[in-house]
Amino acid sequence: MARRRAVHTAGMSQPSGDGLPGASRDAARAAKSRLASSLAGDRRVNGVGVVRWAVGTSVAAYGVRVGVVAEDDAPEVPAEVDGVPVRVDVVGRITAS
Amino acid sequence: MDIQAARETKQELLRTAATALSAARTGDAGPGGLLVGVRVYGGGRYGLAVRHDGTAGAEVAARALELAGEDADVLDVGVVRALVGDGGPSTQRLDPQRLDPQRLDPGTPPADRSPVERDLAGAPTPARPGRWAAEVLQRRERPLRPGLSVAQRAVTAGTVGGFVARPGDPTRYLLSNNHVLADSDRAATGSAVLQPGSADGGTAADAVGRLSVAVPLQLASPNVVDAALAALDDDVEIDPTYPVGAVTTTTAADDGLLVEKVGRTTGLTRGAVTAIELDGVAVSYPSGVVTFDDQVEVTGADGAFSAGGDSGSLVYDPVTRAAVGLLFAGSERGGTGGAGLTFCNPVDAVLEALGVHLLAP
Repeated sequence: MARRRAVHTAGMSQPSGDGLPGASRDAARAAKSRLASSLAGDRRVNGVGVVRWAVGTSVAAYGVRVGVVAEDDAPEVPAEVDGVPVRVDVVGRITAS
Repeated sequence: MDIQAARETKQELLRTAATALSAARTGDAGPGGLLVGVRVYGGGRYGLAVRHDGTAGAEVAARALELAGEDADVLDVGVVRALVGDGGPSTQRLDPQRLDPQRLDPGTPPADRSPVERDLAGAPTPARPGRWAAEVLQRRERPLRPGLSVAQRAVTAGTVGGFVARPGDPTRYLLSNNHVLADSDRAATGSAVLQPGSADGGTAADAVGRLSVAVPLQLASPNVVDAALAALDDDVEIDPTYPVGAVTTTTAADDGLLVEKVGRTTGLTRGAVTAIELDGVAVSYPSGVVTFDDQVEVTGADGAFSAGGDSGSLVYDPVTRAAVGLLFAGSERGGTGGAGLTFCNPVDAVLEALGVHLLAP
């Protein structure tokens, strides 16, 4: 599986996905669970979720979002899991507010 | 373009939309669907977001490209679907009647307007919050309303998310987070809850109720909610209305959903859901790190959507007036201008865990 080349800032513009199309929400959910399990316990990761994946005019496609604490200390994450695209965003540390 | 230019361009486009949609209704093609908003590109760059269904809306979309050029994000999305909280999707076509220019007239009674029209015609906004401004929400206020400063006596300050009730139980409850009303499981049931919170000058004389129940925060396994209830004293009056009016229904979050909240620290803010079903979210509490699954992430439209003290705010869809989540945490990175992200429990999970429903005015 290809490695991620870029880490995005979370909450910013939706990525092109390097041309990867999105998947159904169910497929994205399943891929998310699989990736979350494989990254469980990695303190560099903070939240693995589902996001819309905008490619062209499609808005019904989804992908997986891996949140990381720091851009310069992120784990290697595949570009796709079971055909579902993955992107990595920096979210920092999360505090009860 | 900057945020001010984006807002002005949006208003210009909406004026165009009112004209175009009026013309469309006289034809045979039938009304089209249209959504116009501000697109957040990040790094201080904003633009127009236009979503249309390819009919009359397409003309407006073309005008958006004229006005905003490369800053226009125009998509033909077909039918707009609202995901309702009963677990099944419902198809809701955007009704251009909601943008009827006659209904935008300031003389039209607010009750006759749809939520979209109220927004366009002068309802409270982040720029004009009125009584939903942070400085007002931090005061001692009666009757109680959502957004006000509140906390268990040992906690600094959080926010009143709303008011709820249980079937067959006459008690009115105030809804907020466990770490606001129960001091993260350290407070005794029956201990006083103050409005405003102590950080805003609240004392024992400002008690409005007693801690009733909190969903325990588990350290050894993932949580879904950080929520608690305070049973309100009989003589405390409440006003369960938000800037958009009553919020009594719920909806599941989806990425891209525009949302709003009122909170003690940042007042009335707007943003959008930017990720859903987040698992393995590690949140720092005074007692340690607590992990959450199935969380909703929100990014502010103009800076931070929330800050410390906004915990407990109810996050809702201002167009449908459906609740989306209970705000409980924030991050230090990401989001508009790097102002950080906001995290919410899915609202249905909160209400189900507590066995309550949102109260109507």
